[in-house]
Amino acid sequence: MTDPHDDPTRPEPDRGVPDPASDRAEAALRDAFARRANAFEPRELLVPTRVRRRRPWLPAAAAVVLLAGLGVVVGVTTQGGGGQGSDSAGSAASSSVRGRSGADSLAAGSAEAQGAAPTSGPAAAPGMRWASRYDVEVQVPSSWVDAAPPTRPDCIRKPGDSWDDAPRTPYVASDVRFRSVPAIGCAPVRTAPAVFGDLPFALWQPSLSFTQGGPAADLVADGTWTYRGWTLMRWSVPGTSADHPVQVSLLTGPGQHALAQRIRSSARTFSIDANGCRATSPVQAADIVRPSAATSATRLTPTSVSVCQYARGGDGPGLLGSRLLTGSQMGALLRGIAEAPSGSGPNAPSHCDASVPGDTAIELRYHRGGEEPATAYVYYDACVGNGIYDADSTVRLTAADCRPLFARLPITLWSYDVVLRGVCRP
Amino acid sequence: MTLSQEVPPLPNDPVDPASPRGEPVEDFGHWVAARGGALQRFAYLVTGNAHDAPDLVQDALAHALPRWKQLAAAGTAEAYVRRSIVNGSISRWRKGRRLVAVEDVESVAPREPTEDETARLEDADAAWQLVQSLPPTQRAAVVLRFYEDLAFAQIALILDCPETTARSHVHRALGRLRQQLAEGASRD
Repeated sequence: MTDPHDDPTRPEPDRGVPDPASDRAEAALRDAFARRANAFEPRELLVPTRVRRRRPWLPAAAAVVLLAGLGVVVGVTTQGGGGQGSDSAGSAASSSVRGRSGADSLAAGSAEAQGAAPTSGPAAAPGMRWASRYDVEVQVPSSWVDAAPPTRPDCIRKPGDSWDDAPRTPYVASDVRFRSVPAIGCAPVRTAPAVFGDLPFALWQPSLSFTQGGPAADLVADGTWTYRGWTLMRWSVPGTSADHPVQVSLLTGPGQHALAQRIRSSARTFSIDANGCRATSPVQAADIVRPSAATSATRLTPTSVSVCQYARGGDGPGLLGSRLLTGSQMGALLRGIAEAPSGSGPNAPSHCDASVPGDTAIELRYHRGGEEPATAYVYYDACVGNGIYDADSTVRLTAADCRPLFARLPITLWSYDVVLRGVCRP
Repeated sequence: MTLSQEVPPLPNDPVDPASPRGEPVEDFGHWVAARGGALQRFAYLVTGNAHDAPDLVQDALAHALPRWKQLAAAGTAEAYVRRSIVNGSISRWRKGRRLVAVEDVESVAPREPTEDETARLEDADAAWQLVQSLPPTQRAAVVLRFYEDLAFAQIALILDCPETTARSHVHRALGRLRQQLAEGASRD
């Protein structure tokens, strides 16, 4: 006689209800699973965090200030519009550099620095450019672009897979601390020693990155490591603040030993970088501030404008990236500012958490000959208080005045309120 | 077989309870937070290894993330992730990482069991030992049937096999266990 339990074609009993005959084997399996499962302690999984930051509510009073001096700025725009900047004011920079042309690469670096930017240091050597973060700058080949490092190198299994966003050319890593990262667990395909990180070897590129230490962020050990002809050097730069030391990491490929030494020996601290940006700015304050200068920057006729991006909320050197705009790039920005409606915005107060400041802000430095630059501050990643502030006026963010700021790395916009979609980024 | 709506959705497919139409939850993070523990328990029972289970789940989630919208919309996320877990366990098993479970995460019994309880514990231990000896797919079928209480059609969906195969996996395992238990009883 055939056991009905062994008949794979028998009708299925009600799902989830044990056979009333209480088959001993079934009961044993249910007991076994229930006991083991109950005793098992699940580990905390790293779940994806698709960050949509809530933005602070800022005083409405800060948002209502009239823009002055439009006529003067329009004049500047006309003058600057025929310049030779190669950047398109409306194009947004990609966080990746795949497919970026050599010409673009040059433009992303020192080629922008054609205007007179007062700097505290020497000019870069021929074929080199300065890359600066915090209060440290280092010379790298002009062909090294600014690029975001891979989002999750440990998730990349092979070149071209769905996680692969690794740069394909030598690069200077942008500061990506405010980038949203899927916090999911991955098992890296790692062949090199752990100090080289999780990126698969096939995707390695020469690269430079900066890390700032501080009370809440310990730096890893300095040292030099090699793997299959590649060299990783990591060193702390002398002269940086004891409270905020800066460490530089440099990865170079086979045959680049001399270049590595040249890059390393160029590292220095600065008070004003090659693009005319200060290591520390008042715009780092958690609260929105207005430049205290007697002259409104937007009334001036500059020869160049430094775009300096800072992390907010810290007291150490907070420069995240800098660019120097001249010619048509500067003209596009000034024209956008001149034509922007007065007041703060776009804002969305209903999205706010009043206690949370924005992540980053920009200081614009208007250079005119040897004079002390006038400044304007730009706030853009909150849901209130957005706008361009100079000493006595505020203008709204528009595509024309905001996109030129973020047209190229290393100035970047990782997060912003939905009301700014289509404004600062396409 | 493809993951489709040929069978009823699994009980834990991501459906928004606040939605009058039972629309799918699109927030992957919330779903993982809600289902992570259960998925790990499932992975643990399938592998018998408490250390591999979280890794298997995280690998499965990594596979699901790029397809999340479609999976959530189709109501097949739970099945997809479970299938990934089973496939992951098969891969590890094939790669020679077949481990005999030497750990026992069960806590110590707080009191002396009764005679009835002792018999049940012995049966459960025998069942656990048997399950550890099964190939991964069959083990998964048994777990899905007797731990998750799924219908064979749903088991087949997860294991990507015909329903009759899923049924066969389970009943063969049951047959072996019944035989072992009967032999044990006759020895006693």
